[in-house]
Amino acid sequence: MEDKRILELYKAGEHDQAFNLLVRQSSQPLYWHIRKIVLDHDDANDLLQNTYIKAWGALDTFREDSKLYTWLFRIATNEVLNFLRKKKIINFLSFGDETQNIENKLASDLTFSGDKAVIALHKAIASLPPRQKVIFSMRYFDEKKYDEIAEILEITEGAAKASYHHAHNKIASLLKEELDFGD
Amino acid sequence: MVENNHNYRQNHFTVPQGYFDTLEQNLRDAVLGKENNEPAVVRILKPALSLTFTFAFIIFMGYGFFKITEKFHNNAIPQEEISVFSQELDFMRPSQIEFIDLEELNSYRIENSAEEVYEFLTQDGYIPFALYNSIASIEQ
Repeated sequence: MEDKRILELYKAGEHDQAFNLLVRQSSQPLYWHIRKIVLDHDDANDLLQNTYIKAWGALDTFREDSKLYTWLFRIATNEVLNFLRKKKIINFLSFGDETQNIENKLASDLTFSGDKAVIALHKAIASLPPRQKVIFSMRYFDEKKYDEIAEILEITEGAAKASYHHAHNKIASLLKEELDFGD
Repeated sequence: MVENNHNYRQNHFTVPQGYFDTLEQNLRDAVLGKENNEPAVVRILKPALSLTFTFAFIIFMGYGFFKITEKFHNNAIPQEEISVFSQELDFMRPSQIEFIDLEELNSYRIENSAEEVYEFLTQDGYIPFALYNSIASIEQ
C-alpha cells in the first residue's frame, strides 16, 4: 500500500484524495477479513465502516512504526473482537445457542453457498473463544503468516502458533464428532 | 482432513449485487461526510461541552435525589402528629391501654380498614381521636 503517498496527501489537507486511496487499496481485503469471521454481511459492513471511522479519526496519531495496512487490520480485528465478545455476552444472557444460530443463519443466507460440511466447519469455529476464532480465520482462510498475525494482534509469534494449533485440534475433533470424519 | 480440505478453505461467501461498486462512495459518505458536516467550532468545543453536560447531569441527578427524599420526608407523619399520638398513648397508659388486646388489635388492623379498626376501638369509648387519625394516615 502506498503509505507514504496517503500520509503526504493527508498532511497536505487533501483529505478526499488520501481517503480514496486508502479505501481503494484496503476496503476489499478488510471486508473479507471481517466477513469470514463474523459471517453476516450486514455485521461485516457495519464493522468495516467503524474501522474506517476510527482509523480516519486517529490517522493524526499513526506513528509509522508499522505499515498502514497492518494498522488498519489491527483496528478492524479489534472491532471484530469487541463485536464477538459482545455477541457472546448477549447470547449468554438470552440463553441462546450460538452454534445453532449460525446453522440457521447460514442456511437462510442468500450470499452463502457452502454445503452442510462447510456449515459444520463454521459451527465448530463458532465454539472457539473470540481471539482463537480470529487467529484461526487469519491463518486458515487468509493464509496469513504467523509473524503477520502476531503483529496485527500484538502478540508473540509463538502465542499465535499455539493458539492456531489449539483451535485447529478443537475444530478437527468437533467435526469428527459431527460428520464422523476429520484429522 | 481439515488442513487439506479445499472445500473448507474456499470462500463460500458473496456480497449483495453491486456492493463493492458503491462501497468506496458509502465509506466516503460515512467517514468524510461526518467529518465535513461537523463545524470546526463544535469539533473544538466538543470535549469541553461533553464535560459540562456530564457535570450538569450529575448535579441534576443529585438535586432530583434530594427532592425525592425531601418529598418522602414530607409525606411521613408530621412530627406534631406523632407527638400528639405519643401523648395520647401516654394518656391511655396504663389504666386504659391495658383494656386493648394489642395482638388482637394487630390482627384486626391487618384484616380490616382504618374505619373498622376505629369502630373496634371506640366500641368501649377509649380511642382518642388523634390515634384514629394516625391509623387513617398510615392506611393511606
